[in-house]
Amino acid sequence: MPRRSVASMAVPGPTRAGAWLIAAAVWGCAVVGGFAALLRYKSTAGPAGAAPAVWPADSALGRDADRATLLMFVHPHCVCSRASLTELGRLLERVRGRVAPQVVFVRPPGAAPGWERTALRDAAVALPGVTVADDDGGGEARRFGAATSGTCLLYDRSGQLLFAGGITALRGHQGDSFGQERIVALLTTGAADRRDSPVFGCELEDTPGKDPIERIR
Amino acid sequence: MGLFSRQESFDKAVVELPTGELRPLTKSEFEALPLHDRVRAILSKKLKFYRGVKEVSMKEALGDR
Amino acid sequence: MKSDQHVDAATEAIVQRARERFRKHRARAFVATDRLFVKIFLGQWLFAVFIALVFSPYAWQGKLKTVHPHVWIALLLGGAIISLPIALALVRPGQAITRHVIACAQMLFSALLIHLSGGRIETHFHVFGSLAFLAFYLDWTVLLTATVTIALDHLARGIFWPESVYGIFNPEWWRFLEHAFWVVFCASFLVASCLRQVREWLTFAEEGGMIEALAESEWRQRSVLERAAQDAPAKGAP
Repeated sequence: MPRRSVASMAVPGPTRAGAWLIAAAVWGCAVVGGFAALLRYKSTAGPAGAAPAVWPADSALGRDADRATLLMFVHPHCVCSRASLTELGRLLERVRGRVAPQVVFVRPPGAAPGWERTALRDAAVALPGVTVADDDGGGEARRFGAATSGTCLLYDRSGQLLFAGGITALRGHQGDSFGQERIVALLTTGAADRRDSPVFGCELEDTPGKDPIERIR
Repeated sequence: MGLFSRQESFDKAVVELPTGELRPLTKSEFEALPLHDRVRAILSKKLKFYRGVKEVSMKEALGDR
Repeated sequence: MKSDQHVDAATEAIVQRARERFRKHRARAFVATDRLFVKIFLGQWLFAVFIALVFSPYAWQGKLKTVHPHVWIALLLGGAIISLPIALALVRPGQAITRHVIACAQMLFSALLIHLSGGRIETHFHVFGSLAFLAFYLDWTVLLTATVTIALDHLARGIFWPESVYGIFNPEWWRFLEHAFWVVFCASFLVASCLRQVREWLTFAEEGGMIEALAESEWRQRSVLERAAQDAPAKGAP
């Protein structure tokens, strides 16, 4: 059999170019698909609870009788809620003195003592004017219908619900959000276009057998 | 001439065109000519450089950078 | 006439060599910058995975935890973003397509890091740092590719932004224009710098050509004089 030279065994030009084109197409699809999945994850809200229209009488949490009360329910380990707390700080600067803020850290049933003591809790404690409370067993979260970390509930001084929702625009993302704008509008003008917004965060209660990100798929 | 100014190697070039005409060019105009034209003028020795009224050699005009 | 042909041939050869010097100089810069970006991409990928593992390792549901999607995204999407540019940089270094794909991928990686960090303002500086690194190519079209990539990313996110579904009026809708302005501001200075540097290189290459022409001219003259000197005693001999 005649021997072939190395040069004659080289992949011809058009085939090489075609291979690169295919590689580029695959790459493009992978990258676009990856970003689409990322955005889908970030824009998928947590489960919405049903907040009571009136402050529950049996709640152990304090309500301010002279001004509106803002509750934020937080999962102590939820990284997305770091952004919620940052935004809470910005919100409180904008509505200085008009609201009594409380951040409630939820410790689900069965969690070990001290489980809720995290850097997130320390960050909440450091927010000026904020009262930090612990919800041992998650009873308060259930009472107020808070299912997702970062849920904000705004009650007026008579205990009527004004707003229920989140104050971040995307999961774990700092920056402007409709939720924050609506709370500011309610506190300053008494009216807003809507009284809710999506909440982006971890679920406050566990449901055995259900993957935490099953909802997102 | 100031402390930090640098004397240019030439400020005028005179090129002999194929018609025999002598065309004066400023330094910028000479440097803006296509490279092909500049090289040809040098090789065919149809180029003279001046600093003020004094003619300078090609070597002096082009060598000092 | 024969002398003119020699001059034409010599001129052509000198000009070609000058152009080749300029082309090789630019090619060296392209290849070196491609190789630099291979290292940058690998370093960034490791950094993205590290950030995800340190700052968002788990997703929670009550007291149950799983690996946070950020970790998978940093690993898989980050790896996907850098795969093609690294392959091109290794297999086709110095090619125009390589540096344009690198520019596009670098901006996509900026977007990934911004998402992984939760939109922190500080992470946006990665965009401006990346533009500076891309300027190492001294090819202004690469900066254009990078700028267009950023613009398309913002446009796409604007379309898929949940607020556009959930609300009617976003008072800060123009914010992306503010970002775009600063990117264009930075890129315009880098483009000007690239153009100036390339002009400098061209000038150096052309000056080399003229010095070569000068040397050629002197050699020719010396050759003529030497031949004349050799011929003179022979003519003068009885």
